[in-house]
Amino acid sequence: MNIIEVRHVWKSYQTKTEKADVLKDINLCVRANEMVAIMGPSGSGKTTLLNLISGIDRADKGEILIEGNSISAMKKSDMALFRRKRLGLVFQDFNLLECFTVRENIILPMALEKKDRHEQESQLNMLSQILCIGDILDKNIPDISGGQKQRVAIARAFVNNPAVIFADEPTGNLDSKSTKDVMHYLAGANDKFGAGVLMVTHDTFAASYCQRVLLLKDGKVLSELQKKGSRKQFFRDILEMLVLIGGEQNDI
Amino acid sequence: MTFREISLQMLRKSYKRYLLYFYCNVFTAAIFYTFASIYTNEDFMNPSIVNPMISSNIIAPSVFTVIFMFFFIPYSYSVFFRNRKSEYGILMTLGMTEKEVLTNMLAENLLINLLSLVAGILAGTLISLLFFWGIRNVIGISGVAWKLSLKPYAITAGVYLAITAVTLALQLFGFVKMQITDMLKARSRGEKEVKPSLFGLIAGSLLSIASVAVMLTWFRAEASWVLLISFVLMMAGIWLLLGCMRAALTGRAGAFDLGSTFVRQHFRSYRTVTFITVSLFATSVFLAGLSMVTYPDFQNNALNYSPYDLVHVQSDGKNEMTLQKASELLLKHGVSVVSSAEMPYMRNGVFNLFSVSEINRLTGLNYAVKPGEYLLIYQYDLNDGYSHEMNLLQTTIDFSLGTEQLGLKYAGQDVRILFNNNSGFADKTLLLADADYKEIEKNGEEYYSGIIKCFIFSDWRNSGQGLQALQQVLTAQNHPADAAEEKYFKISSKLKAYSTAQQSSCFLIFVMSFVVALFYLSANIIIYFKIQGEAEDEKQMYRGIYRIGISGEEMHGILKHKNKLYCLIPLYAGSAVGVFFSFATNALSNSGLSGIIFAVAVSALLLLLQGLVLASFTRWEEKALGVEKWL
Repeated sequence: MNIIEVRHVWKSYQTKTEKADVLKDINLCVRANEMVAIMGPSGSGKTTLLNLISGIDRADKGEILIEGNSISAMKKSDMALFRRKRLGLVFQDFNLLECFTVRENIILPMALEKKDRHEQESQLNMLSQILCIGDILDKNIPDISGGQKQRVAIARAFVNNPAVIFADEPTGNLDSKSTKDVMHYLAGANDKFGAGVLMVTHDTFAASYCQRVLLLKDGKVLSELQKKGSRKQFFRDILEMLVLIGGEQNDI
Repeated sequence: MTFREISLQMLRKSYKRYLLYFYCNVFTAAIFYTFASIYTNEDFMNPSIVNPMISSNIIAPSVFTVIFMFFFIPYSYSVFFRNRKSEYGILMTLGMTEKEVLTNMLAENLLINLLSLVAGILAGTLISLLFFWGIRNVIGISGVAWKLSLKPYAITAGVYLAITAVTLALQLFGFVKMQITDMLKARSRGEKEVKPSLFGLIAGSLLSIASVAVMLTWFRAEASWVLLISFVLMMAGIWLLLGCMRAALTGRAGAFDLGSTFVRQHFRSYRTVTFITVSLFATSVFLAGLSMVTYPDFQNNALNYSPYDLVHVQSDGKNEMTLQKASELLLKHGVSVVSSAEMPYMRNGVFNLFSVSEINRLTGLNYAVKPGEYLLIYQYDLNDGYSHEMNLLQTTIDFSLGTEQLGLKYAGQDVRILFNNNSGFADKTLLLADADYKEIEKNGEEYYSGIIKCFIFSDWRNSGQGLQALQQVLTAQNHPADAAEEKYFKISSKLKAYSTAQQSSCFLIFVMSFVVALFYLSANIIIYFKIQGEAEDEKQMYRGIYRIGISGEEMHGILKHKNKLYCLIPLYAGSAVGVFFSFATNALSNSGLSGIIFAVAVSALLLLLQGLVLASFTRWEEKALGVEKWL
């Protein structure tokens, strides 16, 4: 069953002199429990696509369905409630609120959802165990490392049992050790909760944790690669695909 | 955790950010209340207690305070709101609805603004008490006391809440139109480039030159509007020239100037902040110079408008005392009368009428007026710094003589101060031929007669006791029916005029000092906001620079250079503008070069203070960025 369906989506931005088409007739789908990576050079439209699917931005043309609901037709307030209940977002620069502790940051979406304290605590305990952040729950955000911050952000994204997680360069600000940890936990949470994951990344290593990779170039889906075999094999396949399409690792 | 707890937690944890906004609002409300409490004080505004020459000095500073409030509250709110946008952006990605965000923003602003208003009014009450203490004990205006009145509180609350409500509504309207992506990037998004252009340079220079030319050419004739137009032209010129400053910040060939580069990165907002602070510094220097010049000017005017050391009016059985008796009474109290004289006059609500021969006899002048004509005398000092309208009456004036009319033709006019200002005199003075004067005195219906009594002392500066004794005796024998009658027959003296002028100029300096301090402080608060905001936004960049090998000492130099552009450039430009307008208004009003001297002195003082401000801002920024740890 498809949890995300993107049909003939177009998006353009008007500059002073011209109208630039950032996304051109994009079609894609993500199945439940599937982890999909979108790769592509800078300016290829990856983040724009993620913003459209997550309802942060609006498409000019086309339709986006999440769990069969057309978000293109949703009002701003309905979209906010939908995002709260069914979507989780993870960003490259974490977007944690520094005025709250780790615990409060994770609980925040449940507080907005007005879930009772008991449910908030049990969900918090479960996620902090899975993501190994139980010992930093009472710390302030500036006092934890980048890898820990991203795990907190992942916990926060999963806290309302969303149908799909959107991750925009989740390892972009992390070192290789933290990247490995974060991807391990993200894949683990995806496995445990069964939410679909759509991730934008430049990092081939991070993409290798997914089941499928879509390559975006000049606003179009250029190629698609399905995972066959081990993660190491998939990592090599992705590199090979990048070489074949003429791009370089630095381009992605 | 509940939604309410989220809001309170945000308020509690981000208190430092809220605190600055809170202080700005408290500061503004306090200053506004202080002026409102003076403006609405019945004693202070009562002309029988405080001379209008003194009390009217509160009008200009009050106007400046209101203008200040109208721009400072929206400015501090826009800075505060900009800092909150990214937080609300994050909350919205988590599913907070627009309605919830708006409710939260409304609640926190309502809370901060109400607390600010209460704290501001309390602080304002204390400042106002100090202010009144100063008026009584420093300026020496007795009879004025601070009074608890609801009116200034109501005015302050009304104006403050109205401004904050409009500001908040505009900000919320802007918020509703924003996308979440814009909110998330609100702090890190680069500013639109301002391109320096040859047109800007030429137009800016021309406007500045035009401003100077307009001021020097027409100010003497049409003071008030020429000053305004010239100031607007000057500020428009500065705005265009500031736009060209980006070229200067691009750096010298071969030298990579990081401090300038940081400013260039935020050049659009740098230009706005610099423009606002130039206006505030320029106004501060101009007002300070102006109020200092008024000190000697007011005294000189008081002497010029008081040719006699004592003048009073005898009529309707009041103030009846012979010159001889009055002189004896004065002498008894240590005041030696050198000469004294009296002459008859008539007046109605508009004119004083004098017989030309009597005026010539008293003043030693040689006026000539033919029967059937009148000579108009404007009792002005044309060099007193004020503009005077002198083309009012150039027609025939009809005097009612019972059943007949006596029409007198305009025969010319002269400008001369004949007598001291006195409540017993009307506004305009006419000299008539003796025959016409007698005819009106005999048959005129609208005019009543009196006698002017004038005295010259050997030492007017020590005539206080004698004048007081004479006033007491006259008041006792007059039995005035009411305060208005008592005021009408009050003696006027050079000493009183001089001390009133002294008090008035001291009061103006006192009040203007408040306004200048307010403007200077708020200019620096705006600069602080700007430096603080950039430091928070660019923390990562500064750390990156440190990582590529810049030492703590070098970073100190970079920050100092950057902050010089924020703190000193506006003061240099503001001082230049303030000194020019101070020079022009005073030199063209025949007050000599005192305007330029005082303005330069004030600029030098502000520059010294600004050096301290620059050092403390740089120290603060180093601490915030952790540069101290690099040393």
